[in-house]
Amino acid sequence: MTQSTADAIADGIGAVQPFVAPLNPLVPVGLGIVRDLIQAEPKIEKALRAIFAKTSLTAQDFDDAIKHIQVTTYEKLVPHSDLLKLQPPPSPGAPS
Amino acid sequence: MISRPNSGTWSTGGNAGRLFALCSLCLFLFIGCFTTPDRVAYTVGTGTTVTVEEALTLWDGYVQQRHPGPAVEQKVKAAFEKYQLADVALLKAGKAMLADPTSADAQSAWQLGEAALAAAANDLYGLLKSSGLKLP
Repeated sequence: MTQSTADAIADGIGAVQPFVAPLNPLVPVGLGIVRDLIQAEPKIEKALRAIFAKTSLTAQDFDDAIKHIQVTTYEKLVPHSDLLKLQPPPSPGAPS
Repeated sequence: MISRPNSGTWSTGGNAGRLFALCSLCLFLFIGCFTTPDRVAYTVGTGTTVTVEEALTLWDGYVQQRHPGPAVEQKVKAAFEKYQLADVALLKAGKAMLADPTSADAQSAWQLGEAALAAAANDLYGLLKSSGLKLP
């Protein structure tokens, strides 16, 4: 991460000191989003707190996280999607 | 500030939200610098899941009101699915690192997974913004 990126992050959250540590590359991406989503939606804070508070990790934790991603479709998150209206109706006799 | 088209502008959480955001940053810094790769993978992977899914929830409100059209939605869906693949890849790499922290293959997959997830999440957020959704 460059110093300018670090400064931008610091400015973004109202901090005064620039960050010089070699950060994870996702931090610049996530911070602005995380900050405003937390302010907008308390459940985000709760979810992130749970992630940070996790004291030990097992293979099952990774499996659960992967499974969650795999079952979460675009259509599930965007139920008002117009793409759903474009799907052909099931043909007669097709299993429901 | 995030605006939700179907419910007006969302209010901010005030000082508590900002304080938590600052704490989150510190935790990200701590996690990024001092903890094990498997924990970084888990925290980044699941944290990104939370934020992306919330962004898609906001997108749903936008779609409901503005109907950006199937072509735009198809692009967002493709970007979302690309992000999912990258997130799963990072989590799988993290799991491999948990099992064997010295594995060169796992370390390589972890580094590639991190970069891929950063790029995919950036692409998705950028696409949502360019499609009209107000995001940070």
